[in-house]
Formats: sequence, C-alpha cells, structure tokens
Amino acid sequence: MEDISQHPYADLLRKEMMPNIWCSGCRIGRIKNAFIETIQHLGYDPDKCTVVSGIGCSSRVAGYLNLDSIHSTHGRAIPTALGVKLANPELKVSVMGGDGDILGIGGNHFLALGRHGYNVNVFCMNNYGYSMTGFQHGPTTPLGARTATTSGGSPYRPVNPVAVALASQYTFVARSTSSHPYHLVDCMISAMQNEGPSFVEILLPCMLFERRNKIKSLEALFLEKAKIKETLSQEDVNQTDFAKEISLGVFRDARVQEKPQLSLVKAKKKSGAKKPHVHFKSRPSGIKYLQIRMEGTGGQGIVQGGKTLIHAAMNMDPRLNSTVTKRYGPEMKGGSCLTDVLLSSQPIDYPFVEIPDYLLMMSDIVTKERGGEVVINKKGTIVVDESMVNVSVLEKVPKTAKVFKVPATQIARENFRVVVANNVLMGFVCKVTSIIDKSCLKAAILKSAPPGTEEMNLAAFDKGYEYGKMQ
Amino acid sequence: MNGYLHWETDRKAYETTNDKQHGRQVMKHEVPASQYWNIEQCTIPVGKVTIIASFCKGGDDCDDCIRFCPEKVLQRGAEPNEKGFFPPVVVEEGRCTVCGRCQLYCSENAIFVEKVGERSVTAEEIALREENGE
Repeated sequence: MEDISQHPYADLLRKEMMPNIWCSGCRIGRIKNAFIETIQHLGYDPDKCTVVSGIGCSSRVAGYLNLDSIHSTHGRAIPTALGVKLANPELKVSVMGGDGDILGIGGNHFLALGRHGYNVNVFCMNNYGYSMTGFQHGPTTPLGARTATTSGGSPYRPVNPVAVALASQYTFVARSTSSHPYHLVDCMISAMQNEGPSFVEILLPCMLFERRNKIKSLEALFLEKAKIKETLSQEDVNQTDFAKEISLGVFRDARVQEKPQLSLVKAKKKSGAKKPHVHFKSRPSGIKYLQIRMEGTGGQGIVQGGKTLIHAAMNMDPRLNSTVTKRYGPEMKGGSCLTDVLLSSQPIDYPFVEIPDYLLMMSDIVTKERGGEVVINKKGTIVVDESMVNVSVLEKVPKTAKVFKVPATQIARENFRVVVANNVLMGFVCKVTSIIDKSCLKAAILKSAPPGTEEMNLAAFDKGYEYGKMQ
Repeated sequence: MNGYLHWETDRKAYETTNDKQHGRQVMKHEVPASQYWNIEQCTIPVGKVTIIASFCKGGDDCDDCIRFCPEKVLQRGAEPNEKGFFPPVVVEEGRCTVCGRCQLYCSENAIFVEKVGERSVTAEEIALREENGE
C-alpha cells in the first residue's frame, strides 16, 4: 500500500482529509496543486500563509491545505481575509472561492477589496454557475447556457470578472484556466508577489455544465480556444467566450499607489484648554424608591438629561441601585421622547417608571400623545418648561401635586444657546426639589459635556439655580 | 512573467513564421538537435512513478496523467480500486524523466514521481525520438 507521506506536496496537504470529495474529472485539485507549487517555489513559510474560503466546491481547498485556514460563511470570504490581514499584516492571505461565492453573494466585498487596497490575493474559480447545489444560474453563466433554473437557456449576459476587477482598482489582474497549470502557477506567483489586492480568474470545466449543455469536454475546448498572450489589449478583456476564443494572461501588474494626504479629517484638537473640575462629596441619600421621568421633544436633550441625572445620583450615593430607560421614535429631532430614571435602595425588578414622583416636562408632546393626561403621583412634583409647554395641560393635575414653572428654553436662548436648556432646567430642579446635591449634578454635567462647552453648560446650570432661588 | 519551469522557453521555441518561398510554417528559433540536447554529456533523470490506487478517480472523465505524460509511461489499468475507478499502471519502469507533469495535473494527488537515478542519452535514442515525432 502506497503512502501519501512520500508525496512532494505532503507537507502542505492535510493527510487525514484525503482523498478529496470532488467529482471524478474535476480540476479544482489542480488549482490546489498549483497553489502548493507556488508556495514551494517562492519558499514561503507555511505558517505565514493563510487561505480563507467561503462555501462551495472550490472552497474545500482551504480544508485540504495544511495551512492556517478558515472556511467562512457564504460570500464572506473576502471580509474574513481582510480581518486576518488587518490583525496580522505579516501573513500572506489568499482567498479561494468560486464565482458564486466571490462575484454573486460576496460581490460587494469583491468591489470593496479593490478600493481598500490591502494585500489579499483572490483566486476566483469560475465554473459558470452554482455547481455544488445542482448547477443553478449564477452571475457568470454564459448567455444561452442551460442551468437548473434557466432550462430554456440563460437570458442574461454574464458578468466579466476581469473587467470588474480592472474597474475596481485591483493592482494585479490575470485570467488563466485549470487546463494550463504551468501558466496558472506563473500567474499565482506574480499575484503573491504583488503588494496590492490581486485577482486571478481561473476558468474551470464543470461536469454538470458539460452535461446540461451537451458539451463533450470543456477542458478540450479550453485547450483548443485559449490563447496565452504576453501583451493584452482592451479587446482581450471581453474575449471570454469559449466557443470563439479566450485570451489568457496578465491584464495588469501595477504597483500600489501611495495614499494622498487625507484632507477630510479635522485638524488636531486644541490641547491648551484645561477642563474645569468640580469637587463633590458622596453621602447616604436616604432614598428608598424614587421614580423620575423626563419628557419632551427629541433634540431638547431629554436623553442627555436622564444620563446626567443618573450620573449625579451615582455621584451622590454610590450604594443606590439605578436604571435609566429611554424611549424615542426613529426621528432624531421633533419626535416624542422620554427618559425614565429609577433610584432604589433595593435591587430594581422593573426598569420603567409607572407613576412618576418627579416629572420634568420640557414639552407637552408626550402628554398630547397620551390624550392630554398627565401621569403623576398625588404627592409628586412637576417641573414645567414654561416657554415650551402650554400650561392648560396642567389643569387636570391633582391639587396636592406641586407645580414649578421655569422658562428654561427662553433663558437658554437669551443667554447661551438653545441646546443647554436641559441644564437650565436641571439647575432649577436641583434648587427647588433638592433630591440631588448641587456639586454632584455639576460633576455629572462636566462628565457628559462635549469638549469646549463645559463652561457654557455650567453657566447655564447656575442660571437655572439662581432662578430657583427666586421661587 | 517569472518564466516558471519550461513554459516561457517552450513558447519561444515553438514560435513560427510563415515561409512564403516554400509556402509553409517554419520554426523561428530552430536549433539543431545535437546542439539542443548536447549529446556529448547529456544525462536524463530517471524517475520512479508511485500511484496511490485508493485515491485515484481515473476513468473516462479524467485520465489526465495518461494523456499529458510526454513519455507515455502510463496506461489505463485493468483492475478497479474500491471506488470502482481504474487507476493507471506503469507500462515500463525507467522510462519516466521526472518532468512532474502528472503530479501537478492530478487533482486527487494520487500520483507522484521521485528521482531515483540518471542515465546518459545516446545519439541513437535522440534520432529515434525525432523520427517518431516526439
């Protein structure tokens, strides 16, 4: 019994996986052999080579090669390979895939790789359709060819992979067939040596295609019609019809262009300005269960206000349990928006506010959506932004509830900018309700304020605090 | 291109031009056979062909090793393997020249060659080859 371990390719073959599963007379194995020959000729360390493949007959190559290889999901071989390349740029990454995998389902990734310009070699085995599942119509099926899904002949013109690769800025583009293995090895060596994204289209005779279209031997046709050319013109790009003539050879072997200076990225941020700092002291708050709701129109800083509140509460008493829940529509500005903040001394089971103890209304849009009803605890507190809310909605509020009014948006617009209205309200709330300490709230505002606007946010808070003193 | 193996040289060697005087195709870079083979000192490697019969999927669909062997070392076997395919058998030991075509062309990695020795080539053998048109 002869053993495969004597084989010259044995180092690069996974012996436990052999023999392979391909049909008798399938030439994918030859492409695998050509790849092994390439690596041996170039003298690459097998540990520094990686093969990534998708799904399909041709993607089995990754399983038979004794390299670090990934058999990824259908069509996503190129993004996986790109990830490998980004994680470890030393590796020589190759993608083995069929036409359905690379051009059909992973078509956009194929375009994007040329744009990104990373050194990934794509070897696309074009057998004119999806042959693993019984030969369905694919992107490269020739016009008029019969497949399982186009039994009367394909009515669509095929994609020309070489033309697409040339258009999407691949630095190495070549066409070869599995019937010319020495030429294929030559193309693969050049592709591996090229420092940009390289693409080799490998035409492959498939038995299912031969049977459906009553071709005796596609390999014989390839050997007869294919012509290896040293210099190729634009006409040769389109010569893919195996009934007439196929032009084989290297269409482009260019160097990677240097990336120009990026002009769209912003200049470096100013590093001179020092961030103000607020000292605060934590203390036991004595809060047992407190429900705070902040509601208003999207864009007023409702979500930001809720975050500020919960940060401030955590600053004040780190032992409290707390949740923050946000509800808003798909629109960034103008929709209804509310934030629920729960503070509790015990673990919180339900993260939504049922009946709020404190209701901070920055606009009446939520109330209108609810049908004019204001949900509030009988002994609760309502803080209303006078300038945005129609005060008539408060008529149905129980008399026992306290109501405070502050023209927060108007103050913000007159003194600063409208965007700090929520901080004006926050300062007012801090003064009139005294649930959270002033220094804790200020520190929370500082934490979430965008760089450069800390001073304005704190000034707005102080303005609201002073307005609260007048009440 | 890298000129990998014989492909580049072969292509140049077989370039032809049209000879209008005699009305036929003439080899462009024709070299006398004795000069090409350098008969005085020429030796040819001798190889041993190993066939892994259990891997082979040969038959009417494949037979690549038999078709592409320039020395015609192989021949369709008569005994089927366990899958029902007919692996090739070696016709005559010592005819292989270790070109390595069979091991590159075989999709199943069921055949490989090893160099076991060398033999010198005589002028008669070269003449015989040329007569046979090989």
